Amino acid sequence: MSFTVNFKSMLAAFVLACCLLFSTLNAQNNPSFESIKNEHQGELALYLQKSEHLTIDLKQDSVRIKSKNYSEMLHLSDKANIYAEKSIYESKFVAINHIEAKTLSPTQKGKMETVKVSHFSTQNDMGGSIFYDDSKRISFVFPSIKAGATSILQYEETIKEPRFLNGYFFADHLSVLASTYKVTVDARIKIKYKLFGLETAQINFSTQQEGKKTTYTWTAKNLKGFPSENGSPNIRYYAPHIIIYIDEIEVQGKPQTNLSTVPALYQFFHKFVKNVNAKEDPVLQKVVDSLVLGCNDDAAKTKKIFYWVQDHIRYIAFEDGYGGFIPREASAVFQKRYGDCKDMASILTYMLRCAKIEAHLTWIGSRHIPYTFDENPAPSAANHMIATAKVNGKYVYLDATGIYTPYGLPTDMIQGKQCLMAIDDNTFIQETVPTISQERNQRYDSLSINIQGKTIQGNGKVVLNGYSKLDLVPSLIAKPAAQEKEILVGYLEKGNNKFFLENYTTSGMANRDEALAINYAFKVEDYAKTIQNEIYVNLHLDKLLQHADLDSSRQLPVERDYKYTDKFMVNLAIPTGYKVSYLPQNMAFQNEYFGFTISYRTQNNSILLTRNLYINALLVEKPSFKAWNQMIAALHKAYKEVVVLAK
Amino acid sequence: MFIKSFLIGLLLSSYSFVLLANTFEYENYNWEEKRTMMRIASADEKEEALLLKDKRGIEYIYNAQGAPECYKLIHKIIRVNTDQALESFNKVYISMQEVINIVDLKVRVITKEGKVIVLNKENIKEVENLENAGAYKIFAIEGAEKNCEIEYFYILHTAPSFYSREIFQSSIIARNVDFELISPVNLRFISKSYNGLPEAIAKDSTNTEKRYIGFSVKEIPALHKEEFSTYNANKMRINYKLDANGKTKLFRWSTEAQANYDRVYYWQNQKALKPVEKMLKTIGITKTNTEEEKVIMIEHYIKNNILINDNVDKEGFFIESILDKKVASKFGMLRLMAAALTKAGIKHQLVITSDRNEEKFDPTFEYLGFLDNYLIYIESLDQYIAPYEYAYRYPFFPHYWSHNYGMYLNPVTTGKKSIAVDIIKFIPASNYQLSYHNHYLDIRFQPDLEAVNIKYKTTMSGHTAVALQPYLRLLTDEKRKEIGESLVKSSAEDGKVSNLQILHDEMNGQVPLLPLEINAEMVSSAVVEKAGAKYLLKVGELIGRQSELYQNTKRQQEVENSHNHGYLREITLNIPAGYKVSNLTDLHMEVFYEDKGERTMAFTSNYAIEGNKVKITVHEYYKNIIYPLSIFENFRKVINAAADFNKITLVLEKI
Repeated sequence: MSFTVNFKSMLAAFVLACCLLFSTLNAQNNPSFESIKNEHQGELALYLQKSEHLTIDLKQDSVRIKSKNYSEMLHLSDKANIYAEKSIYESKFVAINHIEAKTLSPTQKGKMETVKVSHFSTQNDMGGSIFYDDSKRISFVFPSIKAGATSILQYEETIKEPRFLNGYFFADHLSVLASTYKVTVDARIKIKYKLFGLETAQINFSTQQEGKKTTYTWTAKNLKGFPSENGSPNIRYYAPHIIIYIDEIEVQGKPQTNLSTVPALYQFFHKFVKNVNAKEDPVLQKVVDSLVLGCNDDAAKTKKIFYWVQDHIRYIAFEDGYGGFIPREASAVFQKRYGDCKDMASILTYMLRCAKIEAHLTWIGSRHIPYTFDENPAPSAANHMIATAKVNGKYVYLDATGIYTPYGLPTDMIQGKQCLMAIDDNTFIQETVPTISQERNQRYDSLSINIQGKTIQGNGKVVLNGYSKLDLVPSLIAKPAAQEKEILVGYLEKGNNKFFLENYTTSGMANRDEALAINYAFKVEDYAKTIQNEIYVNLHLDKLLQHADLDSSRQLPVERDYKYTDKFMVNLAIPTGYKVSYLPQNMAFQNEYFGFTISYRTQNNSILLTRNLYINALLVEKPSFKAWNQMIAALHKAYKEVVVLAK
Repeated sequence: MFIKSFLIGLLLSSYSFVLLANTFEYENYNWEEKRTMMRIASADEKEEALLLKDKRGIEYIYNAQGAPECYKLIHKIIRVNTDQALESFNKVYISMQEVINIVDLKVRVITKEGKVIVLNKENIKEVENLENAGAYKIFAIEGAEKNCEIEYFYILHTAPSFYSREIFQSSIIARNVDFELISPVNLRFISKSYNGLPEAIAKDSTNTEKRYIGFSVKEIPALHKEEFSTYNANKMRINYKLDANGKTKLFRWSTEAQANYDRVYYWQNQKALKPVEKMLKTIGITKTNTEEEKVIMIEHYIKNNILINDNVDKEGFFIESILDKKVASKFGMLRLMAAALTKAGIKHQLVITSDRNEEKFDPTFEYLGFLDNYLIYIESLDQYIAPYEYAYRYPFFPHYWSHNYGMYLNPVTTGKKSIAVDIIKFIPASNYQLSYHNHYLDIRFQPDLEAVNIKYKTTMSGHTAVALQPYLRLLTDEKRKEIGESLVKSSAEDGKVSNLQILHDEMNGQVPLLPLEINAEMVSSAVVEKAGAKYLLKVGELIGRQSELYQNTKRQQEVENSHNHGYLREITLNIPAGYKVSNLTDLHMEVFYEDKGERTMAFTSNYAIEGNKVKITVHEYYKNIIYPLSIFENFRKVINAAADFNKITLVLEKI
């Protein structure tokens, strides 16, 4: 949903609604603690209210943005101590001006006492994959938290870069009784907004004009907190939130328009890259010349360069103000042999150009971010940069942060995402990175086994392609023999954990263009069962997805890294003197997004089990949950079937 | 753990012996300016990385003012053979805590081709407070590629620390390992090496004004992580300390005992304890309560009402403000707990010990670094409480603080002054019988025999409950249910759980603390397999997936468990009418180890038939924390017996 706010057409009709905005909860018309607690049984805390008030001004023709944040959290139980700890963040783009935090805590005499937070500690926030990050975490502890206590937090932010309006979340994992977002803008500024997430229909909108300022207000009431469920996508996919865009500014009487469009975003992005790699680097040119020597076509050259960058540049990320947006020079990356995504994109595009191949720096958002640039023409739609080469008239997406990713495959985290390619000062191209098909990511494991008493033994060969291969390679490649074996024992385990890998060979591990094949000999002890004249053996030595059923109360989608097919085959030699006395029935479940077939047949004194399973969706969403569980139930039914051999 | 403030600086500098200022051994330290890569054997090329040089030097000198200062040298050469190893060695973090300045810092990469890339020092980043661990300088190694050498050395000028340790063993092989400690002759440092590292010995020197101790080792093998071991504590390391200045003994347990005592019992008069008295009234302790009841009531009240968080200012350290704001630092909790016990007239002693997962408290080496964690020992009950560990409730405390020596502070009152006498004693681990995880299952087949209904009950006591019991009460109902169900499902992962009931997770001071209990009903289809007309019940899986040591890899470390513990499982199988179980004898298992006629670990399983019921009893226990390497195979057999039980399948066939 999106439209431009035209404040002239929206007048005092909403004044009434606006009056409600800053009215704090008072005793008369507010529900009592007990009644709130009853309505929110099982919850530990909730927001009585939370709000942000953004003020966008023009001073000396430049945009000044301040934000006032306010929240009141009611603690519903004495157990709510975990919500006593709180952190807020600042960076070079967002300064926290002043923080006030306090607790209103009920006393034994039935009164409320105010206890202020007096200690705030600031630390560098360097978690995750980023080596150096300029953002800082300010953390503190609300004192005297107990049932009935309210913790109140207010602070101001100065947002130094107008494009970094990150949006307001009406609710996340805690329930919110009243959520308010207000934006007051100068008459010379026009804004746009968009709502994202689920249940945005319950958000009310109003405007109010005071002198030369207009205030837009969005409110929502009684929002239920979202559960935290395993495997769910980023909160931006579902929590209702709003993003504001400055669309028009009047500078010296002249309006600058269309600021919240993709071209305007491109202008903003492009100024960070336009001077990058302007100077020739003869050393790098020489490296490229020797690399592509003997390559017959552009595809071969591009692949060679891409693999060189993957092999020689290690990923190390620095987040430092605008430095987080400006790729380093290719020659510097070459010398240091490390860089973050945009540094890798920089050296890739430069080297490709050295080889006379069209290549472009390309902004993209990983799958953590649900928006396209069209939906959200703001920096918050991107968190990543890759290089795009044009080879034989087709775009090839080159993300060297995926160190083992073969040429032609994007990294799994950018599948299906819209990207923005830099062509020149005014030109850009929007494209969508393909989602890789299930067939490309196949795992094919075939076993040939026989029974020796309680033990089954035999040979297997597993062939891994695409992302299925990339799941395993990083943990396995170039490991010393003992460690490699230990990892493979874990990966190849069949039947039960009394699985022994006797010997094995691998091929294609280090060659990105080949599938990874592992030939192995193994045994599984205490697996087959012999009673009198009969042998029982379950041929489902691999029970893929056996624990994948979804809770009936699940609300949020399930995200998968990639689509795949999984083929599993077992050829069991029937022991001499035995014949098949029971062969389970074939089974199948199939729909557009997922499914499987399981079949048995006998041939030449052996039994052949074939299982084909596929997942053809990156997100399994709520309407598919029922079918998903039906599939898992069908799998369970199949997995419990045992072959019986009798003398 | 807690900042120690002493007048040691003064004590040291008052010594009349002042050396020439600003001359220290490493002032002109340098690496070999021009060199190529060091040669390694072809077998070494298969290692992910090798530490080809690890030199560490510490020198204490007096500055111009006669105060002691310290210089620290670290010089490493790392051969990196794989991309993964590169990712772990191409970033360097140098803590700036206590650092006055960096005297020198050089970083280079030498490639296979002999190219040398030197770090541009402008790319060194300063971090003010890295994850609350203080200031750091950090940099990424420039020019590093697979099969290169990363070399760096740095010399830090720091405030002196008079006891510390250096760890030399890791998951990669280390060669050319050197350690050296230099001090003015009057400052007598002593050291102790652990886990097979050579002792640092006095070195000959022509310089009679300095004392040199150290060692050199050609190679230290890699130590890999293993299950059932205290990996960090098992690494080769050296602990060192300043033992005396001339004839003045320093850094002794006795002085540290007194200092700790004074810091904990800091109140000067009874007035300061008024709020504690008020608190005891609120708790409702009366004269009729036993001493044990009093301890438990006090501990529960404090832990359930005060948030423990070290991110507080001084208010979190003083009893009055703690009770006012309901937030305390760990040290504040210790003070409050000690004050409450004192006020309630309960005789107790402070105990300070190390975490044996990091390093064992060595009673033969008077090293203050072992004094890391505080316990309170209740004399009349011969039990301990952990004052600032929320999850642990009387009589339990963090298991890695037990089966370890500790310093007990025995208070002796002479006149008006209280003196704390230090006694080094063993802190025993709790008996295995106190930490049991039990399962009680009643299995009934559904009429079509395709699935079973399971009546499920599990109880967890002592250390086996610690990961859950104190925390469940902090969760939303939804999360509690999720966690409860996931526990139940460890018996049958496809299980559909109903009637879930969680008992005894309110740690409100009940005496004694009851085991956490979870009851539920469950339907599982996956534990039944169908073999034509017969049904296979995978009864072994119902006890949950067990740890195993099936793979026959060479064991490096002795077995060291976190705590003594046991498991009891009682499974009742109702045999469906018209069927019999044809392989009940498979249920009989008995694997154990005997030491001096006593079973110290065992896994046994047996059954009895009562009408149409088969009653299976499975018992497993580990009575000792440590099982030496020499009996590792016996330990392995017991562990694997439990995992073997998982594979037992009962065959049901028509009579």
